[in-house]
Amino acid sequence: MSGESIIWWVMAALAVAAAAGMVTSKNPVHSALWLVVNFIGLAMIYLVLSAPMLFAVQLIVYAGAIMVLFLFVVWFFMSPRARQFMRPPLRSQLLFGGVLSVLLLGLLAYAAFTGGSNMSFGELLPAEPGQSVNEAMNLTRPEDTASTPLEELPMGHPRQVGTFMFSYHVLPFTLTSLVLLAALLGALMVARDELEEGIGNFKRYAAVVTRKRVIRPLKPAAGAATAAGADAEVTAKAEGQA
Amino acid sequence: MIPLVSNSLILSAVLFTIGVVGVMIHRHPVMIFMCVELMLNAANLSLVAFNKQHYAENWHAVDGQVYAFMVIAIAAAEVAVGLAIIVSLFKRRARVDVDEVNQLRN
Repeated sequence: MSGESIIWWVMAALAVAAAAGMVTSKNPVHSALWLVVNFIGLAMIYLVLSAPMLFAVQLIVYAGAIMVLFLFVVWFFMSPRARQFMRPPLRSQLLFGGVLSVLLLGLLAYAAFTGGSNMSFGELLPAEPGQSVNEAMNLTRPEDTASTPLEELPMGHPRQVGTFMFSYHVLPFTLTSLVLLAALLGALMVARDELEEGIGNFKRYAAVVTRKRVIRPLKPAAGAATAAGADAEVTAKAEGQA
Repeated sequence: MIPLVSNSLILSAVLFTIGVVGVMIHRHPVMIFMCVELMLNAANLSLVAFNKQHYAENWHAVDGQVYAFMVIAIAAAEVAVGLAIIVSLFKRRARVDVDEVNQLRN
């Protein structure tokens, strides 16, 4: 058994165990951390499958950025207001989930063991025998200015991936930036405070800073005195001056 | 088929199924999102495995890895929007379980 195989099997077992731990864990923080372990295992498998760039991106973007976002939201939900984060599943969920999952796994296993060998790109694209898809689609290799030709680079070399991403896939890459911008603006708009409330907060803050005009708080709640104590004090003082 | 590649496809199927199980048995949207991430990663794994399989015959193309990059970018956008929706939902009501959230307004 070669070293690659050993790494693959260890990391595959780790990934499956971590995924199972994520699904079955009762604590959402544990679930998020199990998911990080799963991502690390998958990243190592990418390395075995000759995708070193994807290995790095998986670790940096997924395990580094996305999971931190998840953890922040989980901690947000674990505030005292959310008393019980995860309630036990409904019985119908368990029933349908179990049945459909077994069916899906059977279908995927059937496809992986039998159907996959019958599929080929040659049936989908008008390629001659021995002709590659890129030749069939009249795609030519861009001029390579660096010394080593692309074919002689090891598979998954960053220059190779970058050449493909910025030559053949430059339109999807550009559209991805638009999607990210739209997601950024959409997340900001969805998660913002209510408009009136926000303006009210701003006006109150301005009143406190300038001590000229006083806007009453939107909710003169009974229990809010401690948190907004300093604010209310300044407000009262300003009212007295007026 | 290269053994590691076919094994990777099996692994991808197993991880995807675990993600489906998680989506179906959980009631909290954050947990469902985590399971969706797991499913996206399983799909990425199969993309990379097929890329490895067809690398030599396919003119040394790494399109599968490029698609995996795109999937990661879209997943990041999806997580940002989805978590924002869940947070804004949580600001309005204490319970955000998916079987109780059944109104788009009020």
